[in-house]
Amino acid sequence: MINISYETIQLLNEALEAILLNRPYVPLEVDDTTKDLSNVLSQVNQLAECVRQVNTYIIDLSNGMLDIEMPPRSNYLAAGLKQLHSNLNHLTWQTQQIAQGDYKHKVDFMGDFAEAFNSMTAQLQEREMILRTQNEIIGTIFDHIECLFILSADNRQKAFYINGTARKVFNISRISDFSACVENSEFLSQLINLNMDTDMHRELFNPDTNKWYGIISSNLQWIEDKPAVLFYCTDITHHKKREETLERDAHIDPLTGVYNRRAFDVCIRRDFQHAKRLYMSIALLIIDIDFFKAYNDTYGHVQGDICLISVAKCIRSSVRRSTDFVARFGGEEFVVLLPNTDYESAMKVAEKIRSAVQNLEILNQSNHSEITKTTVSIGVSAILPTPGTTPMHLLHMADTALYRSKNAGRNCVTLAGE
Amino acid sequence: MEYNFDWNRLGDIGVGRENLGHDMPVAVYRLLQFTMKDVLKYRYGAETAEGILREAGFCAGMAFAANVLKKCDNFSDFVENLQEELKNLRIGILRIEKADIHNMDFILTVSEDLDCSGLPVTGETVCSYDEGFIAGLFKHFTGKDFVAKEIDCWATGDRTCRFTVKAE
Repeated sequence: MINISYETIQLLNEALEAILLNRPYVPLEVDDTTKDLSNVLSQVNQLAECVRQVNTYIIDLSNGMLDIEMPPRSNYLAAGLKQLHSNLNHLTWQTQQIAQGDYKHKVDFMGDFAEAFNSMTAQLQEREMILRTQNEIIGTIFDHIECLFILSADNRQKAFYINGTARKVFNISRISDFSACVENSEFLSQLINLNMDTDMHRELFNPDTNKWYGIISSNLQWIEDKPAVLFYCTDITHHKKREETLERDAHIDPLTGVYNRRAFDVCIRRDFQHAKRLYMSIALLIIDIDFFKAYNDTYGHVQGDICLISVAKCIRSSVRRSTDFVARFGGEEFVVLLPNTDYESAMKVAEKIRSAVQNLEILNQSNHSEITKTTVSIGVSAILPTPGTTPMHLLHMADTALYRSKNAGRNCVTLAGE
Repeated sequence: MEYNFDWNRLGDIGVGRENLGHDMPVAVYRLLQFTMKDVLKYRYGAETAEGILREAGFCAGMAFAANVLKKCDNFSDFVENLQEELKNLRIGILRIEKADIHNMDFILTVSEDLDCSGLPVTGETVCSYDEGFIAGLFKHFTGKDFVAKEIDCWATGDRTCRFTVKAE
């Protein structure tokens, strides 16, 4: 029979109470009074230690600390917690895989948590697929619109993005090659140095490809935490060519291909002022086809047009200087403006034209019984513009001279003032 | 050592067991394994018996990986596929506790393990067959030799089996 004293029972009671109420525990010691209960005391001490380990383990796990040592194998009380710990470690690993885009990992056998976790993963995956699709669509659109550059605002030789069209047009293989391409391209060099505010529009010519580009720029917020600027370059070559054509058509006589009256009006004002400023002589020839109305009536308008075209061509080929200006003034009237020309030279040019037209041998059997060649009458004026003189003076003088040529029998040249 | 095991030797169970099907209680499986282990221990000693079971497990792991698992390019896919198959075949619930791919150092847990879950506490780990099985799986996936060691088991008082797996 084992004698257990009241003190020993009290000791055991206090020890168990300390364990239950999580108070500081003092290990029970075996002495003479308790030596019969040494196994019991030892087990109580062991129990206290196991409970202490489990408590510490629970607190660490509940604080999310997973990189901790598990209680020793001998602590069977910790078995359930070790399984929980293992599950949490696994979840951490799975979460890392999902963070890297691997969405196929699922959580099993963890009740409500598994359901919530798997649902979250499925939604993440769905959102990523939507984003990826959107990115692909946007990327495809961007690649097929006109040239698009997104450059660093601090260093425009550094590109954040260059779309497919720009890469093709400017032969840029990689974004990192942009700086080198700028050095080799006058256009790109000008582009990156454009001083433009947001939403301004400029036009720039690319001599490498012979094309015109309309440039729109815009300041962007932040790309990679850095300010950026966008350049959108539209090929406007076709538009420019149309503009040039329209511009040209507005000043060219469609039948004969020489300048028209409108162009002549602009030119005479400009050249007259120029002559005045530089104190140079300026001359004007007014050329009228003789008996043209009768020619038209006899041979028809189609033939009349051919006659006009031939005469215009003849006049143009008779003037050699690039500054000399030939225009169709009216129905069968032509003018030739000769800057920096005195009356003597003007007369020579006029006579040359008259002779050349006659030598065209455009036959005319309109008003006369005999067949004659088509000729022109020419009035010549030449002045040194002074303050108070205007282009109208030059014109009027030439016109008067023409009238005198007609009265003199046509097919002749008359100088104003003779 | 080259093993001669051929998966086809498992036969066509669907044909052979038209009525009873593919499934069988865990207790029957354990009856087979534990009795075999006991006899081997009796005949050749505990260490040799454990070694034989471990080798058999290795052979099974290699064959399992070759015939059941998909070909995977990365560890994440391998684990996902293995988890799925172990779950489907009711072998166990595999989890990864640690995966140091660079150093080929891993810690796995298998809950509701086929061999040991629910066993009484004896103080010793008992899943030597599983150690070999895991080593075989990793060998097949990586081409490298691994040592898998069970450090926690139902038989040692845990609720899940824990294995360290390290490349040799």
